[in-house]
Amino acid sequence: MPMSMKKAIGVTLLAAAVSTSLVSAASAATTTKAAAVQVQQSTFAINYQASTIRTVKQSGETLVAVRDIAAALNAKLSVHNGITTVALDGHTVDLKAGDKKITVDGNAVNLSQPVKSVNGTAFIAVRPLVQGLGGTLATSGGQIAINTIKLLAGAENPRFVRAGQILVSVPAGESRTEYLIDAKTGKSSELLKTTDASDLIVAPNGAKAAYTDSTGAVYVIDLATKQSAQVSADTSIKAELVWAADSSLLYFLQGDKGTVIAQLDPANGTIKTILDDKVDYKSSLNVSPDGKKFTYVVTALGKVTSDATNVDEDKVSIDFAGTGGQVYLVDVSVEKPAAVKLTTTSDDKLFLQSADGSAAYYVSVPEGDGNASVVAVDKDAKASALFGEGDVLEIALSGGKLYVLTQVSDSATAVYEVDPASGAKTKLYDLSGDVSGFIANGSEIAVENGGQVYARIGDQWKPITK
Amino acid sequence: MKKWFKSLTTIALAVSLTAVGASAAGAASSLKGSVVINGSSALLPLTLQAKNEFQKLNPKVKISASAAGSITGPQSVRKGIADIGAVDWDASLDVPGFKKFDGQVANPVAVTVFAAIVHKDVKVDSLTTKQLQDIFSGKITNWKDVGGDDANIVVVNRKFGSGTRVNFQMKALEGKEFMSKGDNYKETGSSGEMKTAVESTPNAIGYIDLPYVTSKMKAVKINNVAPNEANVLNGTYKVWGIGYFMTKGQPSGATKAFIEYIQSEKFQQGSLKKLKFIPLSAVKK
Repeated sequence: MPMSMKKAIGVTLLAAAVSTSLVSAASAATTTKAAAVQVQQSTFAINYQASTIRTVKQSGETLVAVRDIAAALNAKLSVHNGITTVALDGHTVDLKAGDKKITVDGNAVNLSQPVKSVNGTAFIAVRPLVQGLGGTLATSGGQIAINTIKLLAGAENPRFVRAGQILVSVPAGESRTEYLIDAKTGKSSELLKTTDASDLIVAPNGAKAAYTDSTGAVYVIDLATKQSAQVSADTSIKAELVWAADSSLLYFLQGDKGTVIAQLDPANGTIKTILDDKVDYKSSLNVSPDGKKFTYVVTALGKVTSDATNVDEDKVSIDFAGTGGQVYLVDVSVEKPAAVKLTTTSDDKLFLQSADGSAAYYVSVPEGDGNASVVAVDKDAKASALFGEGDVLEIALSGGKLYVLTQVSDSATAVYEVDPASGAKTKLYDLSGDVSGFIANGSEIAVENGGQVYARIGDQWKPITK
Repeated sequence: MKKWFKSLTTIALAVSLTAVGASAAGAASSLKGSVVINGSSALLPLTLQAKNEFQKLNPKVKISASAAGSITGPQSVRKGIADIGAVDWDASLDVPGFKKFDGQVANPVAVTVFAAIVHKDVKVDSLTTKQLQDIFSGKITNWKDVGGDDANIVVVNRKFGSGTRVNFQMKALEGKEFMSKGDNYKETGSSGEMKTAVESTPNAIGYIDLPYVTSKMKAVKINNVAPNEANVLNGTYKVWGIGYFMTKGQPSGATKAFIEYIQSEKFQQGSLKKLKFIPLSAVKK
């Protein structure tokens, strides 16, 4: 939609909302008479909080009490020589009773109605005031909604911390800042700025996250206090960190080739080898809640035959038969644990998910042009097609349910909830074809679209980053 | 699955997400293709990590990897059996032992630090360049001559064609030749084999790239400087090189996208560091 058209529609909606608000508020409103001006109490949604704002009508336009708006926004208000100054997030609005203009960040902005003083309180049209402070206006449920929350720009890699809270990363050259975002408002707070930390892996209890630095040392950050503590100085390479289901222990693939499955107790720094079967290139580690069953993918490499005696002859050949990734399961509770190969097919197996080791699910990408689907394979290596709608992009396992993002056409994607036991599927959302990723916390879904993260607020998708 | 490099949409916010069919914006077609990579075993952990991440973003790209030493990388590209030749030197230029590969483009992907390594029981912590030259050429054959126990030194070398060997010869031995035979001499075909040989052979000395160093071996200082990222960046440790993905001409399609992914700040500052490589940007300053 062209910006000018959006603005025009926004203005129209806003005018309607104010009228509606005043009409509907009239019976309940406390109305006072002051110099023949009716001051009404109206309810605005300010940064998603209901706030009572005094309003007056002047020549058909609704004016709001500057002091009330400033208070609701936590803006700084001061009066000096008859000039009221409101300051918020680096923006400044100066106004004076009777003037038909205000000064926004040093620049004059004309008003359609002059600033009105009623019993010593300045009233002004809401839009120039809010926009002057860097905020936006909209209508929500018949109310004016004012929003001055600055959405985080350039955020990527969203992860749910807990219901209603999302962790994102904002890269900036060689550094990166992690932010926590309120999924209901988009309000963000800085968690960690780093040049050296790996991705933060959030514990299932939502209270902490783990990461490594470039030496391999492991840290745990408390998501409430934002304090990090080193829990291991071990320098071995740790390609993947996985929390135990009860958020007590960490598991990881150790070494440059991800050969060893190891366990770290963050309470005392103890590292224990769980499995060292000399099989290299493990990835996508999943750990059962009892810490006994491990599901993962092993990548097999092509076999090269070469003779470098005479380089110019290029005596080199590669055999890729039987290569690619296969799913393995190992139960370390038995006396001599041996990994069981659960798959043998040549498809790429992405987003491996397993709740307890009894079954694993993955996005199966066939060789050639076929659609990707979701395949289930049980502990006895019996595979079955679990979901085949569209071209599956990504899956997530949460709360015992599988959530699937699938491309149903060039212009449409959809999110399904699938019961892994029965295969029953429910379409949760029809989405734009540009949705490129999603995260799930139970049935709470957030999606990525055009570089922004959107959360489901009420019955609408709202951007919580920009 | 995040569609990488997906074009941004300008359509209205909530509408774009809910009004299926009403949206004028079509999805960008998923990147398709296959990428075959062969060559350096030193770069292999990096290649496979990037493959795992890249394929989640680009599921329609098939990536097949193998490794048998750097020289087989540009050879495979020249022969047309690989799209990317992973190599520990710039193979578009002449280096000691190898002529340049005409028509190939060297795409830098990572900085690799190489370390002289000894079996964990060897009681030597530091060697000079001269001592290394003499040990690897066979002039010094007993650890006692460099401050260790009275025990024969077992020299483990990489086979001709190894990029680690090229770098170690150029930078640690300053171009001096290796010995090539003898009772206490062995050659290995990959970084993995080198690791196993030095870990399991008493009195062994070899060399390897830093990510492969384990607690079952010891990385010795060279001229009293430890092999680590900090010493590379402060200029005191000289035995490092840039790893390259060689392509036949400028890369295109899925090959280009994969190389750009591994060169991206996200990967360079993230997984690459985690695997103990050094980002390209760190040494370009």
